[in-house]
Amino acid sequence: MSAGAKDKTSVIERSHAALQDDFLRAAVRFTTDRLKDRKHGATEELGRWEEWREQGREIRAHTVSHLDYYLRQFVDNARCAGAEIHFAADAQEASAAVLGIVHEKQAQLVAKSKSMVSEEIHINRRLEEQNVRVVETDLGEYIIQLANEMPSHIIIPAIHKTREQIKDLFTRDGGQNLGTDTKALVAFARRKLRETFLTADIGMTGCNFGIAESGSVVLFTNEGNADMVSALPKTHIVVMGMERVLPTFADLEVMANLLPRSATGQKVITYMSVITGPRRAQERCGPEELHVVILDNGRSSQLGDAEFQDVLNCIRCGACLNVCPVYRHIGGHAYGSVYPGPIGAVLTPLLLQGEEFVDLPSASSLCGACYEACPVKIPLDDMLVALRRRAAESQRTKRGERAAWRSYAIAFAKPGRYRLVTRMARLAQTPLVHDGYIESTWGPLMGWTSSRHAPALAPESFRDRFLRMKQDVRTIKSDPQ
Amino acid sequence: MNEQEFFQNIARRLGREFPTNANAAAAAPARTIVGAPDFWQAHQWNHQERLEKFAAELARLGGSAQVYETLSALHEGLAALLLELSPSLIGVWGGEFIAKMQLQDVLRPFAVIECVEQPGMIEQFAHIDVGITGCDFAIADTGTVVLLAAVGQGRLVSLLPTVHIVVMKASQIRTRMGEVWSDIELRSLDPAHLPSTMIFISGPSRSSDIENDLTIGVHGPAAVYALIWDDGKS
Amino acid sequence: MKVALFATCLVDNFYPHVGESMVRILNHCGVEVEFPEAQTCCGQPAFNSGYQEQARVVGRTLLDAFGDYDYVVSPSGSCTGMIHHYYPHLFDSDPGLARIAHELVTKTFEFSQFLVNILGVTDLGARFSHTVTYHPSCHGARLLGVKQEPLELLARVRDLNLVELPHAQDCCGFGGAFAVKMHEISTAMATEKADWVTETGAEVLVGTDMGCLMNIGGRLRHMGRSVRVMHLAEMLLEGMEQGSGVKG
Repeated sequence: MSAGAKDKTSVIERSHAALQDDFLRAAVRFTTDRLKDRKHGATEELGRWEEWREQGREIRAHTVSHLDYYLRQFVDNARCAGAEIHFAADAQEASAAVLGIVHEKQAQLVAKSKSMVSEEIHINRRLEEQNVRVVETDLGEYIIQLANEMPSHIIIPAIHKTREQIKDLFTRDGGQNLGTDTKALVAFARRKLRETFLTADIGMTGCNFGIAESGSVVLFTNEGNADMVSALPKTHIVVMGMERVLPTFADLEVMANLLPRSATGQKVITYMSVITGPRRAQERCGPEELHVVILDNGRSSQLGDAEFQDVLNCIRCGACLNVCPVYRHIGGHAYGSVYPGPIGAVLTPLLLQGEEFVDLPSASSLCGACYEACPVKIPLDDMLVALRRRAAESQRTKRGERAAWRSYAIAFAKPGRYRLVTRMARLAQTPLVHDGYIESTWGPLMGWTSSRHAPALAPESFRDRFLRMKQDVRTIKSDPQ
Repeated sequence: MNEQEFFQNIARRLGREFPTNANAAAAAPARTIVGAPDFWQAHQWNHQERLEKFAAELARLGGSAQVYETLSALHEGLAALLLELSPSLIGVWGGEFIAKMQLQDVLRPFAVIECVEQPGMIEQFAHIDVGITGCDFAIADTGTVVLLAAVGQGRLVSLLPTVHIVVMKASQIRTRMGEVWSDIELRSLDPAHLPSTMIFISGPSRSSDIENDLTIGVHGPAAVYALIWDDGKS
Repeated sequence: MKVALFATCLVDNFYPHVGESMVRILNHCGVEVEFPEAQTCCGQPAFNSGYQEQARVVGRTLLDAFGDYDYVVSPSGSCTGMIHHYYPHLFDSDPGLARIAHELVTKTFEFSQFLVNILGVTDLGARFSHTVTYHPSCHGARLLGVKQEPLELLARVRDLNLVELPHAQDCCGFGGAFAVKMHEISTAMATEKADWVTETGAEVLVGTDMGCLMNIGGRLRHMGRSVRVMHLAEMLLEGMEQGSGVKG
């Protein structure tokens, strides 16, 4: 699926395709099992994880519910430090702001470090349309950029790629006589991207956290590429989701403990860089200009909404993906947009509001593993139910489905009706029952019976059996031994 | 969207009006929970514990820490390490760093460039094999060194080479990250006076993006050495 | 204590023996139970699909049925979880119903929770000489916190060889209407669960939710795998009959 292309498929169709891809499924299982196990080890080592989670939840929830104050403080302080701030209501405004800077600098090469929000606004496509070269420098993002695909995991974007495929991609990008061993592939990427770092006109990053008390932008990477793109080019552009703020550095300590453990089971991220404004007058290392593009794009619509405001607490760790049994089987692309997994199933319909994402919240069995894994305790499972409710209430679900649930409500609203309906069903099923099971794949329930045997309704309901049991007891009691 | 509208929209959705007077400072929201959990903030190691833990954590990350009783022992250690690495070009923090840590003699046999703020700096430092810096703080809990940007102490030195050597004192090591913030705040939290960057480096650069296979030295250094002079002060 | 049985629509219509097993076990523990006929269904299938109004109409039957009782016991962690987690919200628009809903939350228990935490019973004198593996229900574990209780009960069954189920915490793919609406994904999840069950070599799969067991059991049967699938209550009763000679 090419990055940025309008995809009119349904989640069912995309899942169907994903379920045929054995390599993808094996890769996703391997990756998520490993990350999940490591997270478990890292949280056990830290100890008192539930208290840390509660601390994280409290800090993020407090920040979001006072976002007017903290974002304002962040902006004021960032300006004091010499940053230029741009406010973008949506993806279009954000792209325009970035393109404005690019044009002003007459930039020809933009070096990027990993930024989900920049993919949300499809900035690479916008830049390429203007004949500006963009190069992703995070190893996984570089790989999927060469493949012209979307990331399939928030933290490890290219898990769906084999080393053979990666070798081919690198060869097309100028690699010669490459082996498929990791060292050789990485050595090529390091050399190739080092050129990019040294010659780029503009460095672009996301923002893991903005610190309100100082106006600092904090970046987390394991590779050091965010440092490269923010230290070497003359201009640094930060694209930042407006909710990614923390009040103080003290709060950053909590996230520095929660995020790497939740994402990959690491105790600490390799490079945590705190950037406060562009380089100082006497410095030569670092950008001359720092621009921060603050993006709304549907986020503010969740503020004041008791059901969904907490989705803005997300720190983009990917822990929910690693425990989700649905993600495990269908991978990231089946979610049809930039954010996959449980967070994607909630965020995408909320931010993008399009008809094409109405079905996304249905791709969940509501097992609750996501909520359990989330380091800031976002109730993603409750939010999925709420999204389904909104879809049903606004008549955006299938008519047949609405009719079915109305019939259910009528039949089950009164015990008398319920008994009648179940008795009728007991009779109607007779031709289909074989050995206590229904194996026929006919009818609306064939989604079940095509792969599973269904139990037949029991000849006698429990409530009738209970009456008989009481009768027997009375008989026994009235009959002294 | 203009700034005022942007903030007004946020405030209104949260049930408030955003102050239109640019000078009107809204009161800071009350908070009871700030920073790490209390039990974590109370957590403290003594000098020896911090030293040992820092070294152990850095080793766990694939880095290497060596402790020296005296500064001259550290110089010997550094000389031996450089001999082993035999770099073609060494980049070093400029300013007072070399003089403070008395590194002139150790560096003499090698081709060395000092970090001096001048045009062409990036091109020069692109060729260094080894970068030698000090650090401003270190964190025992995670094997982290903290480098604050300053004149002559740019990120180029720690970021561009294949090997990063940190020459530091044991007294710089704190128990946990939160203490570093407190120390920095004692200096000043005025954004215009904070360093342009503060980098927290924990071991060599790494990635598992290719079939989950861990690899070291992706963009940043592939090796981190911490040479620690145990100055005995807490 | 006045104890009512919340059978659940699944047990009532498809697995009456589960309900019967619960009754016999509770009787054996000296607890008389009643079955208030007003109950139909907790409304969860509609609620989870987004049909809240329909769920409210149906769930109302539970508020009507259990008002007079001290305890309500259910063979389903999922349905009990529905009451605990969503009923206060579902009935919050009417103060009278809200009050009843809140009471219902405090007095409704999943079966193993009721035995272990309320009655203080873990040893039923059961003997069950089979290899058994246990699948914990997602909603039971995560919404209700049912984690230790079934294990405590299983631990006291003599001659039972309990083999741990790999990836036990992974959802089996039931999820109510999800199993039909997203049946391909659901089947993939059920297949993985069935494979793990088979890998344990267990003769019997035990669980606390007939939704899960219907799903895993149905998949196993379709795959031609012979594993006996039982609700914890059924297994315990059979064990009691084999153990201390309790008449079934």
